[in-house]
Amino acid sequence: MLNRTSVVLALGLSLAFTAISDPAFAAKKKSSPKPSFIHASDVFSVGVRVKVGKKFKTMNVSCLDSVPGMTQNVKGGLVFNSYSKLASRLQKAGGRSPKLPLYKALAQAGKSACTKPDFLSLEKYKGPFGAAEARTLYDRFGFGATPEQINDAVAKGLDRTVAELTTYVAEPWLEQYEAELRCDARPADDFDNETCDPYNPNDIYDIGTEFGFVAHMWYTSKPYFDRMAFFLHNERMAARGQTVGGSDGWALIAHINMLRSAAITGDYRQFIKDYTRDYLGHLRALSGATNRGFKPNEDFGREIMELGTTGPHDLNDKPVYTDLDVASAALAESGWKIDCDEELLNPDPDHDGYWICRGGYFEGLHAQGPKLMYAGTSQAAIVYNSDDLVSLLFNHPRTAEHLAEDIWSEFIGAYANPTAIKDLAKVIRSNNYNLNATMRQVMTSRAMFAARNRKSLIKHPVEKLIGFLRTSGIPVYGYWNFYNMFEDMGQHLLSPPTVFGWNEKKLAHESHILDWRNALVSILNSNTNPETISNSDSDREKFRKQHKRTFSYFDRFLAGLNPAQDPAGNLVNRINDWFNLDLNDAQKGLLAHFMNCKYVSCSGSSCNGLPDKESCDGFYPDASNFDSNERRVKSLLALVAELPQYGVK
Amino acid sequence: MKRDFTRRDFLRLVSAGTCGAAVHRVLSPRNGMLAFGAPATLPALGSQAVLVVVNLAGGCSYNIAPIYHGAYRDKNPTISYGPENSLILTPDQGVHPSLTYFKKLYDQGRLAVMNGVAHPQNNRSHAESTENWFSGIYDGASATQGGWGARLTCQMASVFGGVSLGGSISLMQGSCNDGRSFGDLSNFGEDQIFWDSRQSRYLKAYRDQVIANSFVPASNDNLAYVKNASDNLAASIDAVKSATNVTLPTSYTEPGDATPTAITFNGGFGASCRDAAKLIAGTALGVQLIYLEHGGFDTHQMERNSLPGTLAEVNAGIQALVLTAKAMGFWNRMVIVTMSEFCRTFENGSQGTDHGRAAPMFMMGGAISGGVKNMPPSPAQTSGDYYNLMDIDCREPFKHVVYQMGYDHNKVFPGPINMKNLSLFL
Repeated sequence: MLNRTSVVLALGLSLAFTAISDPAFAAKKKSSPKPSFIHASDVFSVGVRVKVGKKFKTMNVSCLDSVPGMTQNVKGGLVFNSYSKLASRLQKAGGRSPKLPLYKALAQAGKSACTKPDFLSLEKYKGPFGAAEARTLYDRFGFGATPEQINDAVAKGLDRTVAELTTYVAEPWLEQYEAELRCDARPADDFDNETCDPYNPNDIYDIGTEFGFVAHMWYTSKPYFDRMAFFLHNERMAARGQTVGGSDGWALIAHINMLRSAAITGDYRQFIKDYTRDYLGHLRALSGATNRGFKPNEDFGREIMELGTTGPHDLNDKPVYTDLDVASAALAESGWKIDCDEELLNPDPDHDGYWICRGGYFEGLHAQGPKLMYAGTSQAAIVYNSDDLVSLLFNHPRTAEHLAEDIWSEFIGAYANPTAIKDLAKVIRSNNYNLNATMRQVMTSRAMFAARNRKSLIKHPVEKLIGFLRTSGIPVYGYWNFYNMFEDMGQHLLSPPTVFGWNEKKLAHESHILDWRNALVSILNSNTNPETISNSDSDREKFRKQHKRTFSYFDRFLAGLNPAQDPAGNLVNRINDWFNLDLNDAQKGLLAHFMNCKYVSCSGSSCNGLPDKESCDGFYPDASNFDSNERRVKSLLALVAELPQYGVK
Repeated sequence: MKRDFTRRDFLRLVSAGTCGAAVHRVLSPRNGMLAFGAPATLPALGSQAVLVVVNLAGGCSYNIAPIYHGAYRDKNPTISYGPENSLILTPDQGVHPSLTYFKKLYDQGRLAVMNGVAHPQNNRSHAESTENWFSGIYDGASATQGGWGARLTCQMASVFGGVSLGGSISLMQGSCNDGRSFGDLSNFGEDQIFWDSRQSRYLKAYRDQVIANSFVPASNDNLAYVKNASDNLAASIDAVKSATNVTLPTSYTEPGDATPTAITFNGGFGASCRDAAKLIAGTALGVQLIYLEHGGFDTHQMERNSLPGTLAEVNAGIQALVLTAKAMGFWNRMVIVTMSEFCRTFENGSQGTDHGRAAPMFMMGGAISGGVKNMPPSPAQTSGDYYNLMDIDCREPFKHVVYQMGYDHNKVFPGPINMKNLSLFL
């Protein structure tokens, strides 16, 4: 009785080669003359100036890679015809068509425009670096920024800003703060805080760990590294923290540390190597602990290729690996298991040990012997173990391309063509798979600041929420609030729904827009003003009031506005800049009106049955109207953060 | 369809003409194309027909409909089921012991079981196989036509024709309009700012105007997507809240039962089924296609530990939905179809199963002609990689349903399909 494993192990190379060379196994059937269909996103359009008759006109040209042409819907799909081919056809048909000179002109003019449009170019950006560009950087790589940080970035310029953003500085206080959250979801200064057991590595509460992860994103002065850790967590074999618990909760912390270490060093190759030894990711979430050499489990073998390295297909739609390769990869990764034991970690001799599970590699559980990968291709090789496999995968041209695809769609723009992906893959390879060096080039590229890429990426809920808090400076009390907000918005950090992580588009549906609105209301409804302590307060209530972080909306948002010079309009402009909204004049006008007016109760025959009427008595940002101003500013914030423009970056 | 460049979409983009090597050898979609045998009768489901698609996400094990012969059990020594511990449908096959209500529907003649159902291009990638099912087309180059759910929704009059309760997924995204996507409808409402109804009204009055005035560049598909969702929401809140403000029955006595069965919607999937029931009952919305999803079927290890519970949740949710449909009188115009991106292999070394291809599919409804519609893999087939053997193109059952709904099935599923001309409706 044969299965794929025994094919690989027992029949070895000859059968594998035979199978792959069998025409029936061909990746894509070559069938007869049928139009060569393309996908709509294969092409992009650029404007070119061409001479039509005696006049110059700007016309849109479709580009397939670097070839100018036009698309056409035919039965079965979309086809692309290059202008040079169309011109050649007309020429052969006698050359008298009036379209011939136009097609020739478009073919010529489109050549350079299609080759390197700015939104696909990784060449160095040489344009201005103002607040809008700084906002783009911080929205994509830093969960937003305060206006002060933006001003600082503009003053320093692009290169220095990127250098500082991507240079790691340890923040011991934040590590301590996060560590204290992990066992009970309460910071050290919480009245009900319990001290985490320093000797028990499993004194972990998954919700507390999630809070810690969120708090780190919120408070760090180096948000780029948290953003990259989130990228790896989400895009590259997403692991669920909930798969570990009382006896192996430590593994969640180890997994976070692995993500952060990869983000800090930028060493993607080391990240994948570390992942092959990761308890949470490899052994638990992807079944590595039960992948035995004599009867393998293919889970990790498949996902390390599909998600971690090569991806399933190349840029020409051809499969990168076969089922036999998955089986071989599983065998190469076999040999791990989990053992649990009591460990005496507390130095107190009277203290009991802790029951702890750990993973270990056992040569006897590993599939011995050679495993054939990529049979019948130019990448064909024999691997024996995990290190061999990882080396082979990183030598595969697709690994850099697949990483480039994810980086592009996560950080640069919603559209890329194969040429752009190849360019970015080249950058990744030239940086020896170092993400930080690669990202520095991405962050200073023409594509990063191209108009077409501006606001073209959907924010994750975590980016909307943390970005709002980082930009505004509004404090939120009680991490339980975060738990509910993230649960409602569908993005429990460290607990992705599948190994594929979250799909930000999936999280932008109507109910989640409502959830985001309600999260905003929850934040803005929080009372941040100082509270008076009374003798009748309980100890807990006294403690809360004493330690409450206060926040003045008046000072934060209205400082410097001149009451005599269109304060409503100027506030709207300020908010537009801070939250990177790209408001147009009509929107600004509506929002200024919103600030100048309010609803008041309506009664009488002129009300037409409506409960309210609008009363416009102006907006006066002075201290005498403190409460009223605070409410209006909060309303404005709620309104703008709900706009579609805030949902993209 | 305008597209962006998320990974899923990129995967879809590159999925054309691909699948596991062995797949091509086993089945060529060009082999033996049969004409679609249109049912002789007029559409059986009527003008308010509703199709509910239940995605068992993660790739479900064949043990949801266990095969009884020795070859299958030998291949799955610790995780398979026999007549002694499953619910018997035929001498050859049963349903998982957790699917008690499925068995009841089978006994009532309203559950059809199909074996070896797959998309001809299924490979063993979760993402790509899912996209193949959702696209409903053979050649990925036609992906510009969007998901088959969108092509169906395009034919419906109501803007609420297609609703996803399992996230916004490509099944519902297409060229004419995207299906609507909701989460838990019990939370479908807005909190008030400052607990002040007047200020909240004021905020909402301006918000919708400001959103409507957003400028979206022609090339910015993602911003258009987000704005579209916001615009839709503005039009949805009152309509959905009003239409779904229906009281669902709490029990129903099935014909032949002595006592009523309580109707309870528990857990996340149960909530989705409850919302589906409300959407269907709230006929003003005109919902005719609903997508539900339950994860947890990626059972690489210890399948016996997880599958019973996961299936019990599916069983309970569907039972509550069907009982509601029966009590409220829409059972005869509703069809529920399960799908899963792929089936799973025989047992691996972890008492689990890995990614395979062709799976069992269930179809149920008041107008469904029940029974096992084709044989499960034979002992001879099972001695090989039976999970690769596609017997039914996954588009065929859906195509029959679309026809019975009275819509143009050829627009929804264009291109040739190797039809078995299954007899699925009464």
